[in-house]
Amino acid sequence: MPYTAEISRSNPTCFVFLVDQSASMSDPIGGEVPTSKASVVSDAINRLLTELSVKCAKEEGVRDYFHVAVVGYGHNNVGSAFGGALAGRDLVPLSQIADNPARVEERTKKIPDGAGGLVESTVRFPIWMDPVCNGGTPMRQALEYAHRLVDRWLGEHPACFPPIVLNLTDGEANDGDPTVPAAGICSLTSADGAVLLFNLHVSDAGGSPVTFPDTEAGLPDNYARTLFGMSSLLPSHMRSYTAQEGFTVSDSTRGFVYNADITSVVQFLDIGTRATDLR
Amino acid sequence: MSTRRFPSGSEYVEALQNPTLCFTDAELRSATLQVDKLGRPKPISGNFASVFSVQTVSGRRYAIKCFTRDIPDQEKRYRAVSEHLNTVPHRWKMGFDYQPSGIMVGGQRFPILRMEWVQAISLIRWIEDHLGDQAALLDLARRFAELAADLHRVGIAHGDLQHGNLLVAADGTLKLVDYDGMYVPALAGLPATERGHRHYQSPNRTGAEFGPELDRFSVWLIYLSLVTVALDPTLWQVLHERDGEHLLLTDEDFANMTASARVTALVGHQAVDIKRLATYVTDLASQPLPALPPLTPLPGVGLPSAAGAHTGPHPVAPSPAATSAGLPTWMSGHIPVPPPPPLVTFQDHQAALLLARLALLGLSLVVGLVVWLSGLPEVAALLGPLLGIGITRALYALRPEPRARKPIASRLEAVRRRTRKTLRIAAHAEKERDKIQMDNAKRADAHAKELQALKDRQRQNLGTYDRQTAQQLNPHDNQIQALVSRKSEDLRRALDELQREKVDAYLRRITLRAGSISGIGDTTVARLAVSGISTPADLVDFDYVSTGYQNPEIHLILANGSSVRVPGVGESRAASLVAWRNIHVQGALRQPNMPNALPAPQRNAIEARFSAEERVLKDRRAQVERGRQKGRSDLVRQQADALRQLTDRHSAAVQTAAQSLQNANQRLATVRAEHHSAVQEERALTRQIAAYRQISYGRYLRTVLIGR
Ligand SMILES: Nc1ncnc2c1ncn2[C@@H]1O[C@H](COP(=O)(O)OP(=O)(O)O)[C@@H](O)[C@H]1O
Repeated sequence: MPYTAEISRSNPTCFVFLVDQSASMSDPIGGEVPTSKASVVSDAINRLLTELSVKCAKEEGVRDYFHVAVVGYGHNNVGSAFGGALAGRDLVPLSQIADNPARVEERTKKIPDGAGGLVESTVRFPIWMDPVCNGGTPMRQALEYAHRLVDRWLGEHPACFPPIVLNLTDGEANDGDPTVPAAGICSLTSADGAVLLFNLHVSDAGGSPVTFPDTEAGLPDNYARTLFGMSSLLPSHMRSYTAQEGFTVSDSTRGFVYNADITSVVQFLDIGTRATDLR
Repeated sequence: MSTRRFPSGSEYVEALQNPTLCFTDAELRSATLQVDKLGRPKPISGNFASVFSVQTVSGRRYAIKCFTRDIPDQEKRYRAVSEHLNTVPHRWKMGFDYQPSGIMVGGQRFPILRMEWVQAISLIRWIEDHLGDQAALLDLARRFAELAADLHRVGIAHGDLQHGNLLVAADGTLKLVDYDGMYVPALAGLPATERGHRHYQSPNRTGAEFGPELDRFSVWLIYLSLVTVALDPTLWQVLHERDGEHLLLTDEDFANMTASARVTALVGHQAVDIKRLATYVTDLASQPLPALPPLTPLPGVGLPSAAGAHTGPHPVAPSPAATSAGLPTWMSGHIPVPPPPPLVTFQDHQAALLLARLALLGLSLVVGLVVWLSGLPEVAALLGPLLGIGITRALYALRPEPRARKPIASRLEAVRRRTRKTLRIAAHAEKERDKIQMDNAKRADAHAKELQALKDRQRQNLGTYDRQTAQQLNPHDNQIQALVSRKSEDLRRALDELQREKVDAYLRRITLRAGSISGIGDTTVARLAVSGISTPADLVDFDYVSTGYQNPEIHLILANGSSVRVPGVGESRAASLVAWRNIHVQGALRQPNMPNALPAPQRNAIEARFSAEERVLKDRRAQVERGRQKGRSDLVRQQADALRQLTDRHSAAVQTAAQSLQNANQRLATVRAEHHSAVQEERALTRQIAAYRQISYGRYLRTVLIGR
C-alpha cells in the first residue's frame, strides 16, 4: 500500500516549498485589508514552518522527522529563500529550522475577549522569510530545481514517505510550460509511492476560494486550471482527513488550493498513533 | 462524520501566549507556561494533541492537553474514564480533569484536559539508560505485568499502549498517560477513536474494535521486549532501530512473523525464557484480537528479591570475596579474633640456672688464673667475658623456650616470603584480567559499530530495491488512475445528463425579480432580460475577458455557451448572480423526484465499457509486481543470512572472550586464595611468636647475672 511509510527520525521525509517571488506577486488581492500576493505567500510559508515545528515537538525538542527546503523563484533565478542563519541552505533538518528563524516578530492582534469584545494583545511570531517580488517567473526552472533536490534525497532515503513539493504561486509562469517538469517530479518515487506535488494558487482573479477540488470546473482561469492539472491526486488517508474537515472529496480530488489556507497539509501527515477512519 | 474544525498545534501556541485571555479556569489564567527557545509556549505534540506545561502561582505544575482533532463524545468518554478510574487505587494513574470549554482560540471555545504533571521519562529512553542492568529491567517488566493485570482486572483497555504513553518515574514506578482512546465498561458500544501506535498492534486490529481486549497484543509485546532486553541486552543493538519509534519489533514483523529476521532471532534464541515468550507472541499475531489471553508473566522473572537469580546467562564477574587481598572489606570486623596465646617466660629451672652461674664463675676464675700465671698482658682478661658469652649462649640455646621459638621463627620467615610472592602474582593476574576486560569492551564496541553499519547498508539496499519497484509500478498506477478518473467522469456526466432536464425545468420556474438578489434592482433585471437572462436556467458562470486595459471585462456565460457583457454587471454582481443560480441548483437537486444515482443498467453499461481495459492494465501491473516480489524475497533472505552470519560470528567471539575472561578470573581467584591463606598463616605465626617476646638471650643473661 503506497503512502503508508512511517515518518520517523530513522525514516525521515522531506518537504520542498517553492515560492513565487516574481514581480506580479506584488499585486494586491482582495479582502478587507488588501495584501500583496507576496505577503500572503510568505505568511503561508512562515505558518507552515511553525506548524511543522509544533507537530514534531517533543519533550527534548523538535525532532527531525522532516528536512525542509524553501526555494524562491523570481528575478530570473532560483535558490534558497531562507533568511537569517539558514540563508543559502537547501534541505535543512526541521530542528535547525525551529531554532533559527530569521527573527521573532511581536505582532499586536485584536483577539476576542470571550465576552463579545476585542482586546489587543501581542503574540510572538517566528519569521523565516519576508515577501520578495521582482523579475520574471521561472517556474519551470524552480520545478527542475525541486526535482534535483528530491531526487538526491530519494537516493539517500529510498524508503521514506514520499516527499511533498508545495508550489505557492500566482501561476503566471514565463519560462515555458510548467506541466512538463511537474510531471517529471511526479514520476519520481520512493519505495512508498510517487512524490506529491501540491499547488497553492494565490490569485486576484476573484471567485470563491477552493480547497482540494476534484474537478477543474469552477476554477476561475487557465492559470488555476493548469495548476490544478499538475497537482497530484490526494492519497486516500489525506482524502479522509479532508473529508473530516468538512470538504467533499472523491478519488479525483487533487492537492490544489485556490486562495485558501493550505496549512492543513501538515495535518495530513501521520506521526505516531494513527486515528481511526472516522468517516 | 465529524465536522468541527479544531485549532492546529500552532494556533494553540499562539493563543497560549495570553493565558489570561485564553483559559477559562481562574487558576490557569494566572499561570505561567513553560516556553521554548523562541520564548513561545513549548509544545509536546502527539498526533492528535499538543501538551503544554504550566505552573500556577501557588507553584503547582499541570500538563494541559489541547486537542487538534474533534473526538466524538469526548466529554462523555472522559467522564466515564474518570469515574471508572476513581474505583481503581493504583500508582500508575494520572489525575486529570476535562474542561469542555477550557480554552478560547480565535473567538471559539474548545476543550482542554488539565492533567497532573507526570515527572518521568519515556520508556525507550529509560531502557537505553538501563541497558545491562538486568535487575532493573526485570523489575520494570514485573511492574508492567502488574499494571497490565490491574487494567485487566477492572475491565479497562488503554487503547494505545506504547513507549510514549508509558513513562518511568525516578523511583522506577511506571506511569500511564494519554487516556484519549481508553475503553472502560461504561463506554461499551461506542466506536474506537484511534487505532494505536503502528508498532504495537496486532495485524488483526482493524480499528473497529472497542472493548477490553484492545491492549492484549501490545501488552504481550511490551512484556516480551522488556524481558528480552533484560536477559540479553545485545538484542537491543541488533533489533532496535536507532531513534526508531518501536521497541524490538515493528509492524512489518507482525505482518509476516515467519518471514521476519527479527522474529527468527528471538524465537531461535538460546535463552529459554526469550524463546518461549517470543514463540508465544508470534502465535498471538495470527489470532483475532478477542481470542488473545491476558498477560501471564513468566514465573520467577523479575521477582523483587530474587531478581535475576535463576534467569538466563550471567555475565562472569569476580566474586566479591576475591576483590582485595586478605579479608573482603565487608567481612572485616565480623570475624572474631581469638584470644592471644599465653606469654611464654623462662621456666624457673633452678638447677639449670645454678649450673649456668657456676659455669660462668668457674670460667671467670680459670681465665683470671691463666692470665695471671702466664703473664699475658691484662687485656687478655677480656677473653673471659667473651668466653662467658659463648658459654651462656650455648646454655641459652639448650633451654627449651628458645628451642621452641626457633622453628616458629623460621616458618614465619618462609610464610612472609610466600605472602610477598603471591601478592606479586595476584597483581600480575589482575592486570592480565583487566586487559582482557578492556579488550572485550573494545570488541563489543566494534561489534556494535559493525552491526549498525550492516543494518544501515541492508536498509539502504532494501529501500533502493523497493524504490525501483515503485518506480516500475508508477506508470501502471497512473494509467489505472487515469482510467478510474475517466470512468467516474463518465458516470458523473451521465448522472448530470439525467438530472439536467429536471434541474432545468425547476430553474425555469424561478424568475429573476428586483430584490431577489441584493444589489440587483429593476434596471439590471431589465438589462439582463434583454441579454436573455431571466431565470437561473439561463446563466452558467461568468468570466474575465482581458481588454488590454487595466481592468478585465466581466462576461456572463449563457446556458448555450455563448457569453455576453451586460452593462452595469461587474464582478460583484456577476458573482452574486452565479451564487444565486447555484443556490437554486442545490435546491433543485434536493427535490424528492430528483434521481441521485444512475439506474443500474446505465451504470453497468458504462462500467462494462472500461472493465476490459481495466483488467488488462491491472494484469500487467500484477505481472510486474510478481516479478519484483520474487527478487525481493531473495534479497530479504540474503540479508537475513548475512545478519545471522555476523551475529553468529560475534557471539562466537563473545563466547571465546567470555571463556578467557573466566579463565583469567579463575587464575586470579586461585592466587588470591593462596595469598589469603599465606596472610592468615602469617598472622597466626606472628601471634604465636609474639608469645615469645620475653625469650631472648639478653633477658637470659640478665637472669643469670642478677637473678631477675
Ligand atoms: N500528564 C503528563 N505529564 C507529563 N507529560 C505528559 C503528560 N501527558 C502527556 N505527556 C507527554 O506528552 C506527549 C503527548 O501526549 P499524548 O497524550 O500522548 O498525546 P497524543 O494523544 O496526541 O499522542 C506524551 O508522549 C508525553 O510525553
